Amino acid sequence: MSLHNPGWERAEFHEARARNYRRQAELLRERDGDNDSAGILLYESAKQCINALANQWGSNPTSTGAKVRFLRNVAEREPPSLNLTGNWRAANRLHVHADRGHLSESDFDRDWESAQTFIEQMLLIYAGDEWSSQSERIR
Amino acid sequence: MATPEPATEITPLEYMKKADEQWAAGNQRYAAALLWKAAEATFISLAQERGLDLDKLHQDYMAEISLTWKRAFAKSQPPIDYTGDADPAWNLDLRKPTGLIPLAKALEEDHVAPKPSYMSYSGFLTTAFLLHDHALMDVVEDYELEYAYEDARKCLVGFHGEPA
Repeated sequence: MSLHNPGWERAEFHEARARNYRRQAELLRERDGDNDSAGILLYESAKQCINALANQWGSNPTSTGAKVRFLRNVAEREPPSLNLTGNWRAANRLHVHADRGHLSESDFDRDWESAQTFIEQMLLIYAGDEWSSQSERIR
Repeated sequence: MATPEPATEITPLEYMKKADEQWAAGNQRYAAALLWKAAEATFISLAQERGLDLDKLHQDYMAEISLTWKRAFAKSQPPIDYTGDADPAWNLDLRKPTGLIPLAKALEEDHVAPKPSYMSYSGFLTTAFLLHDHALMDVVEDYELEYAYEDARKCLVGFHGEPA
């Protein structure tokens, strides 16, 4: 990927943050047993995934509302079975939980899994598009 | 919590109709509560049609959650028994039944169950949960709420059709 395209540079920056936040979230949960902080970091990781893909596609949504609108466009392009919108909402509930502490154990566990799935799928879409755009340039 | 009685008094379609009226009137939080009730009634009906016991599903699901996560949960801040500050004038029971999460999973795996035409069962349930959160706590931003309402409504229309 060219380092001279600012959109791609931003995309790589956000992708790295997404992976780092997720790793830190997992550590917080597994090592420290801190579900609340882990949840908010996983939500931030999910947001960074949206940023990375948006940058890769040539846009730069700054507000969370703009990120959500971008995500809807992605979800319409991808198979509904990926459940991107639903899984994003699970990450959103982790965000609410950080403030309100309202999730039960089963709710938290399930939203955690769904948010992880969201991050994984977004990173896969990102990687697939990166591979396609590199192939385009090689051709 | 015991498996709730079926929502025989108010049907999902009636909840949807009331929700739309409240949404149009600008009462988004009340509309979210009503659409949650429509979704809740839909899930409970699906469980009953298949003879699934929500309490049993919940117990099995909790047994599956790994010990590591249970320990993590025990060390975290205990969840607040948050009843929220929903308007009593709504006269809605907003206690959430247990067992809906494993129910959604079971329905995903059921090849006979009707599918929501728009999202997976899991996505429909998370969306409905978010509406429930908003009804209790007024926590969802406008941009997210509008989409969540729209998505949950599309799923409900897939099951029940448009309200008259």
